[in-house]
Amino acid sequence: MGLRNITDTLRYARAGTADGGLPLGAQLSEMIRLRFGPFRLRPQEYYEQRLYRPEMPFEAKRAFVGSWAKSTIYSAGNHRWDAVADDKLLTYQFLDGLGLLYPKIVAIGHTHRTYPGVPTLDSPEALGAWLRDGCPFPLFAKPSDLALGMGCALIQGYDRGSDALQLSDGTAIGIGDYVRKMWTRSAGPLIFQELIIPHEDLVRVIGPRAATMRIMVLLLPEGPRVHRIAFRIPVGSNMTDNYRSGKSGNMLGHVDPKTGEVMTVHSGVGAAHRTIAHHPDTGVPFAGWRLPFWPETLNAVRIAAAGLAGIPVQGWDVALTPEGPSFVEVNHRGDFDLLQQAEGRGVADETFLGLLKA
Amino acid sequence: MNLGLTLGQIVKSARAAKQQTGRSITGQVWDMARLRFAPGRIRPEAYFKYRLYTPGIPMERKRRFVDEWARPSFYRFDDRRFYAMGTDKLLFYTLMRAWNLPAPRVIAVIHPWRVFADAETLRDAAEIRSFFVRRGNNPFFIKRVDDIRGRGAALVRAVDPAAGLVRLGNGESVSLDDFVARHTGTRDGGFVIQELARPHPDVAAVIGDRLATVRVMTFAHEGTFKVKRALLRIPVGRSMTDNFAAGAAGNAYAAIDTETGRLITATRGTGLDQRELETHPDTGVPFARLTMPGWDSAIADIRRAASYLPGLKMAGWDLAFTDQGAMLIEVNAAPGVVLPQLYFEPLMDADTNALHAPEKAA
Repeated sequence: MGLRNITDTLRYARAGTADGGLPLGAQLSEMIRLRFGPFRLRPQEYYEQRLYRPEMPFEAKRAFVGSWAKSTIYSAGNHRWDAVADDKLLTYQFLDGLGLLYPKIVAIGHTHRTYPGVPTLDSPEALGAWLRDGCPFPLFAKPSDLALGMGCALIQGYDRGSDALQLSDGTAIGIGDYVRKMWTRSAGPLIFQELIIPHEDLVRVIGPRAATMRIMVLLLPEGPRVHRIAFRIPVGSNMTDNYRSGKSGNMLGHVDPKTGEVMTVHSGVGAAHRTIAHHPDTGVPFAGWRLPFWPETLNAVRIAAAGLAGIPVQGWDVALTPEGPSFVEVNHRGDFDLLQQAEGRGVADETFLGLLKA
Repeated sequence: MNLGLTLGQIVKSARAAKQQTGRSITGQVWDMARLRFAPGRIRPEAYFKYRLYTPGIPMERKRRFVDEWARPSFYRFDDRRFYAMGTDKLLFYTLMRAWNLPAPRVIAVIHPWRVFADAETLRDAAEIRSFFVRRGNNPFFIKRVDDIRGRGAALVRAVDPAAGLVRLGNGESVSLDDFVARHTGTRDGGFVIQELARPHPDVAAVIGDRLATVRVMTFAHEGTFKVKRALLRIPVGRSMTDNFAAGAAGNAYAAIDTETGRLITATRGTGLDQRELETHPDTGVPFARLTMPGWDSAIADIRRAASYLPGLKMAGWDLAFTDQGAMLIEVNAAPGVVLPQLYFEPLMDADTNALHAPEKAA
């Protein structure tokens, strides 16, 4: 452990104590035990998950899985299935074959990849021409091989006078600049999709924006089981709902898997953690809110998870639309912090541990 | 050292090869020694199977053949994250639905929890039995979800609940109870049940009323698509499937012209036992009459499917020519290397060399 790490660790522990947490020494002892435990929790994660809270038993803290343990956990399963999760174009084809909803793809940008029924823009020139003359705005653009919303853009329209794309945050980018930036940035296809139209009940509470749930599913011997759910709630002018440990400014909700009720919503991590009672943009309270299409969502997620039979730990990103649940993507290497922060509970309970041992 | 044959078998084969072709035993031994350490790692067994003792084949060409045991190394250019498309039938048929490409309809899945759109799910012995009984005289094909060699596959002609029997495509009957017990699903397996695909009349006229598939080997890389080989696998005798199994299954096979779909030559056996067939052993009909119907559109379908699976640089597509048109039965990742090389055409060529080249440059 380097000097910088020691300094950071002390900083986290002091911040935890200042937030009403355990004394410094007790925190450091726990941090060391968890850091060298099976799930290798880092001191930063200890702090962000607020494991310094004195009312939380140590056994509960041992259930938190750190990012450094990911490779061990995700080594389980049959990696010959990984492409279905890694390759977004293949994921959407898979969902299509299962008869599940997903945001419709209208074009892809790549030198040679194809997608059933949509044009392939196979050069920067073709991409530029399509954006100018063939693109059905508004739409969502994302590189297929980048994570955490990087490179994504919600494009509202095109202004011919300035030859620029208008983005949903009010900014504009010249077509030439956009093509140069996106064509070289990503080795995978650039995917253009229809916008997710949120269900009217979501609009009522969180405003006219797409918000997705991360639904963690475990493939147990008896079948798929919904394990944890985190609801990412965009705020303000954010174009995506990514949480990024609170840095994005968005909020995170804990959803009861059985009922679809939004149990709690919070923002921030560590000492900045705040429970939020109302959405800051609409003022609508979260208390008692049950998400629409809940039995349909659980059923659809189980179908999707069962179809991905070689991947035992799956994280499905699902949006709720007027037509029902719509699948955005599947993660099978993602961090667990989102799910753990949403509920304040570690994912490694007996069910999870049983799956790892199988 | 792994030779694939015993020394006694090698000597016997070398003598027979000399008798057939005149190639000296010394020359054969020298060949085998050199080829054992060539990139394709040809063992004596493969040397004889591919008839590399035949005079007139330059050593440069022999060095481009690939032994079956070198298959994983040969296909190292693949992205193995795509391999489940070939090993899991339900995943493949799910994608075929998305691609809107024709395949025999899946009517049921036997598994505790896996499902398939518009198909029944049979989760236990009672449900499996009920399904079989309801099928009655409607034939179907049943195969393991995760088997790639046709093991455990069966063509069911009829279920006779009164007699407690299942009548199979090879003429045998088995007890219904045993058949149900044989097909209970597990987490790691399960079975898929499909409507029986019937051969196109043109094909049935030559090989009889059994499905025979063409193994189409394709090369697909960065927008380039080529059909490398097309080989018809021909069930003979009581075989319910056309699996070749490197010659062990006893079935026949034929080279198909990749441009036209015309049958070029039909053969049975491998290596020293390889014999050309003029007519089908069961029907007696000449093979020369056969051109696979709808060849161009079938290849167009494969081309489209291959474009969706960029991780499979060389794949083996099993294509059936049925009375409903050409249908894709499955895709094989890292397909067997024996069948495509039995007509003196080695698998290593400029295309595969180019795929292997980046690692040589590294």
